[in-house]
Amino acid sequence: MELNSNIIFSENQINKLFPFYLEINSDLKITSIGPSLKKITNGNLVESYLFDDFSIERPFLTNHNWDNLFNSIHDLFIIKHEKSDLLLRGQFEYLKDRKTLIFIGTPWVQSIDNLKEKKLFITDFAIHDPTFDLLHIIKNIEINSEDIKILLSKLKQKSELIKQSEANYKATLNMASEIIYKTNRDGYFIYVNPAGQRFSGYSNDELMKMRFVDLVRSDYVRKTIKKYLKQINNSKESTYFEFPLITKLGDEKWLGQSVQLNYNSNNDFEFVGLAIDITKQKINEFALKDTNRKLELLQTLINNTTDAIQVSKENGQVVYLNFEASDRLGIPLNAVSNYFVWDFEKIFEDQKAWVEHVNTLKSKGSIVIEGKNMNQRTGNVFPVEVTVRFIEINETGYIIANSRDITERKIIEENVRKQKEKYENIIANMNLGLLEVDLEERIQFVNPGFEQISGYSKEEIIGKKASEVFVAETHLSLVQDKLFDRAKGHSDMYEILVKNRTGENRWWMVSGAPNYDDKGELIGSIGIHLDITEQKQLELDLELAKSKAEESSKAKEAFLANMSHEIRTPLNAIIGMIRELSKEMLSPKQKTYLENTSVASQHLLSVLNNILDISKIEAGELQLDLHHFDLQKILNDVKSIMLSKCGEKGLYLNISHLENKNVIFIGDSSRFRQILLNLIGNAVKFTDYGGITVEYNIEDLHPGYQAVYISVTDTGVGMDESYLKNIFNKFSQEDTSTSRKYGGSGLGMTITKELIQLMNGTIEIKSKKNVGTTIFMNFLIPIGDSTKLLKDDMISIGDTNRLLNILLVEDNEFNRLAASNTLSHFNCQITEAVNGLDAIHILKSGKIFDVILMDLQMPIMDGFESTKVIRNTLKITTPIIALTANAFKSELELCLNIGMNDCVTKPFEEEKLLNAIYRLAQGHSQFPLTDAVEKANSQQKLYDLSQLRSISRNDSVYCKKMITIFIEQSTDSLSQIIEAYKCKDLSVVYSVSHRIKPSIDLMGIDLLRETMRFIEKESKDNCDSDELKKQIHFLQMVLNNVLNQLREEIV
Amino acid sequence: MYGIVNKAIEELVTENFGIDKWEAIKERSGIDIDMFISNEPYDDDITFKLVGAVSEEMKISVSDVLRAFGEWWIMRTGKEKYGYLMESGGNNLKDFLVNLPLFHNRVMMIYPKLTPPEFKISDVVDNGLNVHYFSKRVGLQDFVHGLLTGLGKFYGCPVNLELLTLREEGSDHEIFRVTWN
Repeated sequence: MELNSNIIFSENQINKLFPFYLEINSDLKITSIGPSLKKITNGNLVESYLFDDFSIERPFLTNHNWDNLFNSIHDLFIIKHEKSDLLLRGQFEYLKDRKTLIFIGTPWVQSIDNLKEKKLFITDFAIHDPTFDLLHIIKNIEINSEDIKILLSKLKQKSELIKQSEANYKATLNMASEIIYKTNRDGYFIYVNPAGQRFSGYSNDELMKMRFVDLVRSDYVRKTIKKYLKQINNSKESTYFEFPLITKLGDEKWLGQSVQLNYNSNNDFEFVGLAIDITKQKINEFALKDTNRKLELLQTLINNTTDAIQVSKENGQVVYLNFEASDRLGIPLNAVSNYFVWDFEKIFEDQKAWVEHVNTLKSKGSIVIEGKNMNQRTGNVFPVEVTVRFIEINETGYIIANSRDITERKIIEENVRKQKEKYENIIANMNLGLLEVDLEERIQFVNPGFEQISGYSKEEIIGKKASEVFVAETHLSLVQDKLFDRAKGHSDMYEILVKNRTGENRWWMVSGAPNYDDKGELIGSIGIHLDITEQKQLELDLELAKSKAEESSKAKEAFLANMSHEIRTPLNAIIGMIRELSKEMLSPKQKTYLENTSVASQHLLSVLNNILDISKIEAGELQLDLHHFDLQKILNDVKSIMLSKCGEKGLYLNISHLENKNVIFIGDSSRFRQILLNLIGNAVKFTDYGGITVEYNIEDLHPGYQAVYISVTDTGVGMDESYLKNIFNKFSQEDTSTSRKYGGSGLGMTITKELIQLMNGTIEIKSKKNVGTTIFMNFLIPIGDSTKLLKDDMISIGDTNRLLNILLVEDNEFNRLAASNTLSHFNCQITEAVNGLDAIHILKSGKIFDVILMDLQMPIMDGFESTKVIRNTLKITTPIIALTANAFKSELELCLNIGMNDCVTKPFEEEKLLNAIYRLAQGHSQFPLTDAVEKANSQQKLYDLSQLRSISRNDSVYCKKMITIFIEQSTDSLSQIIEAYKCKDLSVVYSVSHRIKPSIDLMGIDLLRETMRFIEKESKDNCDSDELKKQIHFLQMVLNNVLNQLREEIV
Repeated sequence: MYGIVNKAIEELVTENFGIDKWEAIKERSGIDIDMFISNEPYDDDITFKLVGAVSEEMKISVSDVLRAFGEWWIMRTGKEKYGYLMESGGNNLKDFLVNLPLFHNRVMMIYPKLTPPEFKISDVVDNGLNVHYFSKRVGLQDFVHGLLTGLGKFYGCPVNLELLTLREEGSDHEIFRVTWN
């Protein structure tokens, strides 16, 4: 067969190369066939029609004809040999020369085993044909698939097994009563079985965030960590330890655990713990230890007790002796069981006595006997108390005797007996009455003292109700109150009026207390009674005397008030008349007489004023009228008044004048003037040669305050030292000749000193007989304001443009005349009324007045009554000025209270009266007196006790005590500071000022607050300066004043 | 060797002596492989260790083990696993042996990781021929012996075998003279 001009295969070659070929002609008849295909078809198909034996599976041919086949030579053909079902896979090619189509293909089978039916061998396939090898590969795949199936089934089996074993393992872990857990190297749990969760009380999630040691009791944590670090370091596979753990609920549980050190797949170690709850064992263990300890303790106690303890059987055989018993009986401990009780107890020598003894014990349980023991070793005999008990242990009876040495008790009992006897004697013989009553107040016991004061014998009153027997009806409620107090456990003392057996009224002082029994239960009360009838009488007498004295004092005050009125009223008239007379044309002789009369009446007024001042001082009514004033002006006034007196005696009077210093202060200028006039007046009086020098100095010591030093020096007669001590006493004069020679009431210095003290000042006198006297005064005065000075130049009423209508209500004709005369010079129209009722009539008539001048003491209707009517009934608001000869505060206050507007003291000074009228007539409704009284009332205190009171919770006793201590200590401290400063020892100044600073703060002495801090700091820095000197001086002044004020406070 | 070889050894032992014996042999050999995969190549050493272990365990010579295994390979592994693949080698023993070189050359392509032996056939007469066995492995001639015996049995044509040359004796390959009646 020639296929190509170049390549020609022989038939044999074609058969070898394509053993399954098939050639057909255009009639679709088979022309030739390959050997292997021939083998399959099993016969010679040459010349047979192709589609008789074969069908074409692919491609799809519409018609099985040549053309269709020919046109499909580019397709893959699958042809089927119908008889054998063999599929052949291949292609058709057109052989141009032979005009045939040749099919080149090879069998297409799914498995090599398909070849078996066709009996095809390896040699039936062309060597180049890979079909056989593909079938071989398929076979291998089949074998492999089988392997994989087996493998999968094995894996499945193994997986099942693993699952099963896992399930078993889990079930085991879950069911295990033991605790099984696993932690990482840091001790954090990575697994805890349910038993572990139950044991700890924590959930699995909670445990997974915890370490094992987090569960361990805190004192065991270090120990635990140490143990497991050691296990790691020593690579010890397994350990066993016991730990106390704290569960979530806070219970303590013990765990005994075996811990295994494992390495995981990351070659990191883990702990696997198998643990059991050993809490019960531990508790038992501890309890056992405790019991053993207690037993040991008990044994030690029994052996060390000073009691002798002896145990014997019912048959008398001794089974136990403690050390003391062995010692006392002289029986060695190892020979105890050789003895019977009758071997050492004589009373049981007759063994019947023992049997009886045992029987008694059996019935009573225990008995206590007192007797004597002798120590066989020392021979000492001593009293004992033996407690014998019968007990049964395991049906065997034992007799336990406990013998106690009661020597000491006996001594105490004896002492108690003696004491009791002693107290009973005391109670029996004391002069105080002792009474015991029960809860129903029935008398249980009385001592002879009570019998004596009550007059009743014991037998007469025991069992009776105490209050019914003794107490006066008026005091029964007091007794009830006291019973109530006793029930609350209160004891106290009280006085009570009683009747004794003879019915006589007696006063008893009773000290009562609740009475309790041994158990602390209230069983009644007990009282000690003292008859104080005599003292009570004395007290009543004293009270009577006191009220008499008070009455007498009131009488004195009333006398003084009346006297001052009685004297002042005519004096008022006299001075007024003299003043009016002096305005007339007089002869020189008349003028001299009038001047003498004027001096005498002024002197009389001054004496009267002094007496009134003293009265006020004694009545505690001397008050200051505070206002802004010019000190220099006062000194000038005083100089101008005293200069003429000095001139009369040929004496000089020098008064210093300060430049560039503030001289405006707040104080009572008239009292200042009074003090200076008194002192200078005295100096003039007692000086015959030389003269008087008044010096003053002002120092700035504290913001708002200035220290004023004034000295009055004379070259007069001087005084003895002995007199100086008494100079401030009332009515004191050096000797009787003095009063004769120099006159005077002897009140001046007393008043002066009182006034100075009232002004927070001090006075000191240095005097030498026949050389002279210097009086030093120190004041600490608030700085004043020159714009607030009282105007001295009074605006005359005459300056007003209109006539003032004044109603003058005065019963004394002379006084009416004097007042009318004075006022008529000042453009005033006077209407006179002779008493209050007269004034009311005038006012009722509708007449309008600018001011009413009202005398207080008048017949028919006095000033008080008429003012009330004017204000309350007539509703007239015309200003009323009281005219009074009585300068007492109580009366002035009364004036204000009933609606008067001001007050002028008789005999009135023209200026003062006019000033008051003017002020009120001009509509100045405020009452200057109010101001003065308030200021006087608020007498400036330099301290403030509110802090102290707050600390003491207003305990006045405590406050008083504190003030007393402060006075004592700060007096000492002040002298220490002054002395130390003189010696320039600033360290002492520092230490003392540091010490008293807190007390000064506590007393609220604000003036000294900064001063103390300054002194403390400067002295600490050892910094002496003029300022320090000043401040120490200021401290001295202020503190002295404060101390004076505080002394008054505590009086 | 492909896993199918070791697998065959396993089957030979388990079918004849039970699974315990196989476990014992495996333990003795020190080989810890649960299951051999037929188409997976294993180290030759494994096969030799298994054979050695079988020998020791069964107290028979390695030579006998290999011969028995050769027979087993044909009768059981070939017949049961490869089925017609074995038979397709030839219609009878002679054809099979004659086709053996061709067959084996095809096998080489299918098992790329195999170090296959090479066979040649010579001196073919009606009742005998020479099988030339070329192998890079040493000591498997007894296995070939067993295979040839097995083939004889497979085709119902027991063979006599005579080893004409031995590599141990200086030849570059073994020659088996195979004769049958």
